[in-house]
Amino acid sequence: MTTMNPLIEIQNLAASIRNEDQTLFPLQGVSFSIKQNTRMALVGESGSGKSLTASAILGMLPIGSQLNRGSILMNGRNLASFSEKEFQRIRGKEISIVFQNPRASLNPVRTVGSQISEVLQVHENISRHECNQKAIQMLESLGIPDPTKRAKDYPHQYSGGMAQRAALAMAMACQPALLIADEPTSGLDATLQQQVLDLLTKQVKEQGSSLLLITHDISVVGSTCEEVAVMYGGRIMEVGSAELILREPRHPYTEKLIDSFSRSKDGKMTSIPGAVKPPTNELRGCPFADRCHKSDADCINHLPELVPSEGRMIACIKV
Amino acid sequence: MPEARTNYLAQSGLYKLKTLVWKILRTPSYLMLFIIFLIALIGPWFVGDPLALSAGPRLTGPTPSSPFGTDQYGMDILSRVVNGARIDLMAGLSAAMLAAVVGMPLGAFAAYRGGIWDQIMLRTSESFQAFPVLILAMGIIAALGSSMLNMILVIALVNVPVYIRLTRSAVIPLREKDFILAARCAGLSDWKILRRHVLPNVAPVIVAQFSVNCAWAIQILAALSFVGLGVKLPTPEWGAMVRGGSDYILYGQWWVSVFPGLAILITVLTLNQVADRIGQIKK
Repeated sequence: MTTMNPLIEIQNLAASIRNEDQTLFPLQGVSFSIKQNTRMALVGESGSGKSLTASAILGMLPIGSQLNRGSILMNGRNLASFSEKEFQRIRGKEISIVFQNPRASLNPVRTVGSQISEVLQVHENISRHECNQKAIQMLESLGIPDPTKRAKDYPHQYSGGMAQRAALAMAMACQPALLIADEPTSGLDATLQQQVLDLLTKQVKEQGSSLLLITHDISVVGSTCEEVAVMYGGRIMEVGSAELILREPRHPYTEKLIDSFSRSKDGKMTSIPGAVKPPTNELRGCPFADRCHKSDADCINHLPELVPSEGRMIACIKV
Repeated sequence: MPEARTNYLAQSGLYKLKTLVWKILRTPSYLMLFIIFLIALIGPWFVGDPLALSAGPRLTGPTPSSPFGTDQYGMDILSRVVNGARIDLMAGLSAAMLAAVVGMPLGAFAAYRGGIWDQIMLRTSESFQAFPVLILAMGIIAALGSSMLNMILVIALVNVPVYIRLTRSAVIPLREKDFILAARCAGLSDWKILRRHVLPNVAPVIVAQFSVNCAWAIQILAALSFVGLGVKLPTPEWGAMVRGGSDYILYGQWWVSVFPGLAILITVLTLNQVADRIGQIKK
């Protein structure tokens, strides 16, 4: 960690989605910050709001949803008030994203090289020829053999691993300050998972970028990330150093989440009772209260704020 | 490096040209289309003046000197059919092209933006398509007057909804694709995404439709001329020629109508076959 200045600071972010018959509140005051040159994980169950948080950072909220409160600060600018035009200028240039399925994120009828070059053409003030050269360099730095020739290939001629590298080359072409990886390892087998994470880590380190790794799998966090934010019901439960939180989780939800990924001594798998409730109204108490073994009336009626405790930030009145 | 050499050859322009020529020669419908275009392009240089009234005696049947015979004004029918190819193909192509150029972006825009724009575009196309194409075209031509330019504009206009709806239906499934999302995430504007990512993916459908559309355009042009609203004699246009000869068929002078009629039939059939071939490539 070279600097401790936050690259992105998210404060009290709240969003709602309106569909035909109801309004949902998937984000209810999310606060955390991503430091420069840091790899951070955003962990949570499906429906906890982690992907929506990433969409909000990129200004790509789904149709029908809007931000109600809060700010996303980056270099003194508030992204929450950005227009589509302003977002287009920073997407791909300052903030990039890679998706779960790399092959699907490449256009099947255009060559891989042209798609990487296109990102550079949009954002960098250099000639088309230089963009093509830079695209080839990107492929080379990601370990694609014979990059000049492979840049002219179509995505279907790439293997799965190469498509992953090509998608990453596209995201990293303009050396963004932040790379968001949305569930990059879901659906891959264990050996490939580690390869993909190592590749991400290496690229991010080389270019001096930060990484926001969005995942439901807390077991991949330790080997990849320095910081972790645990999310539940549209709020941050616990945030701090990954090493510390994984070793000594303090929030009941984090404890349960870690337990459910490791077998107990008798070989049984543990799970958290209950299910994530759809966020149909704004929270009055802790979102985890109804599934938590420590909860009481206070938890249901009192919304816990993130407060510093034992070297981390935690949102629980019972700790 | 022998491998590199083959690769170089595979991508050279000459090789591509050779494969293209071979493909045209091998496929009957492509070959036929090529011949029709050749006739339209250079045919008029090899036949006489289509408007010369003294080309021969009136209403003579096919003879060695005028293989398709002469019409009621003594004009040479072979020369008129060949010259007609130029007029009909030109009108058909430009009408279909105009319809595609206008309809494609509108359809893509409607599908990509969705919502109110989509509704406006769909309802407008539907109200155009509610009329039978020929009736609509006749109505507009009757109001505007029948010049060649008006004909092309009207034929294009009645075909625009086809392109709007086709492009729209091709773009809608694309809209949800990850690579469109990835392109947005890379900071591309909507217009760039449409042009560089969406349209290349719908091109095969559009090209096939274009070929069918040329055929329709030629049919509509001929039909309008046949009912007397379109091009008038003595312009060598196929539909007008069929009408000109229709009075004489009953008296046994069939050649005046049949040869231009055959020209329409063959051209329309060929264009439809070509569309079929292109449609199969896509699969």
